[in-house]
Amino acid sequence: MTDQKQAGDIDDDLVESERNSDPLGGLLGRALSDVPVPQGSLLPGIQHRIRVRTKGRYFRDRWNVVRNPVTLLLMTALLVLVLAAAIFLVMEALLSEPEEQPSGPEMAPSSGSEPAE
Amino acid sequence: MSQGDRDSKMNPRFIERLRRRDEQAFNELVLSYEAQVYRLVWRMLGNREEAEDMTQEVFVQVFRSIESFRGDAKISTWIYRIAMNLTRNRSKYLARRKQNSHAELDGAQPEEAHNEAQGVTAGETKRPDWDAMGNQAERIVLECLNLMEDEFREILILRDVEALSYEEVAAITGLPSGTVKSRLHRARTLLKSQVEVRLGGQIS
Repeated sequence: MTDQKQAGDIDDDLVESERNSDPLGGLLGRALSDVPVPQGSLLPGIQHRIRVRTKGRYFRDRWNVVRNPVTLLLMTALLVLVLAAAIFLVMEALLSEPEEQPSGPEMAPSSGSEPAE
Repeated sequence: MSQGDRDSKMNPRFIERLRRRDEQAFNELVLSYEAQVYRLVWRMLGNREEAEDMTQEVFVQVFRSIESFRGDAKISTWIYRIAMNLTRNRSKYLARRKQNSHAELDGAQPEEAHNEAQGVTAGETKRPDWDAMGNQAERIVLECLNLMEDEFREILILRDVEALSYEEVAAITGLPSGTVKSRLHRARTLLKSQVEVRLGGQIS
């Protein structure tokens, strides 16, 4: 007999069954009443899963490392460019520094009073 | 916070915030229902780690599919329905995995094991937390519950342990209310007879 066929004439049996099953219901309730406590709230774990699965679109935090790969690539490229520019500027400044002008009487600009040979 | 308080907080404006993927609203939803969902899932799976993992999956699924919540039932009922569906699948997966590992240990071909596991029910799933619980009678009840078909066990848990109304059980399981009543009746009769056989007498 299917559930649907039984459903129509079940109410009386059911009332009887519920009345008779009180001790069983109590036993069942007590048996499953001692639910072990989870280790803290599950919220951080849920947020983490959503963050990972939405590639950081939701529940992004300050220390989040999960990003859209395209964004990550662009940011890396930009960082490399900035670094390269900085190195170039520093190197150029070092290389183009004018040599120190020698000073002293022997290097004094020559005048017209040099002895003729 | 009582169930009524929780459900009354979930007004249309709040649901609209959830639909817009408002993270703060979602956090509130999780904090309001995580304990209930965890309890239900643990009662179905009998394993704390699995229950924690599954509860997280339930809320990820809630976040993903909140648009499909039409608002014609309580949001708790809708969440319970998701929890029940995911738990049913996990339970079957665990039963298949257990059967496969047994088959491999017995030297059977994996293919054969897979075929054998096709019709496996979650009633054969191991529920480690239940092994060390309660007094003798309660343990026997849990053992008998563990051996029941999913369809019977989940109805018993929803109605007799979670104390949900027939309408809520019907909405969660997707069954007509009459079917819920008849299935519950059969589940109770079955469980009672099995427990009495194991106890060697009537339950008092």
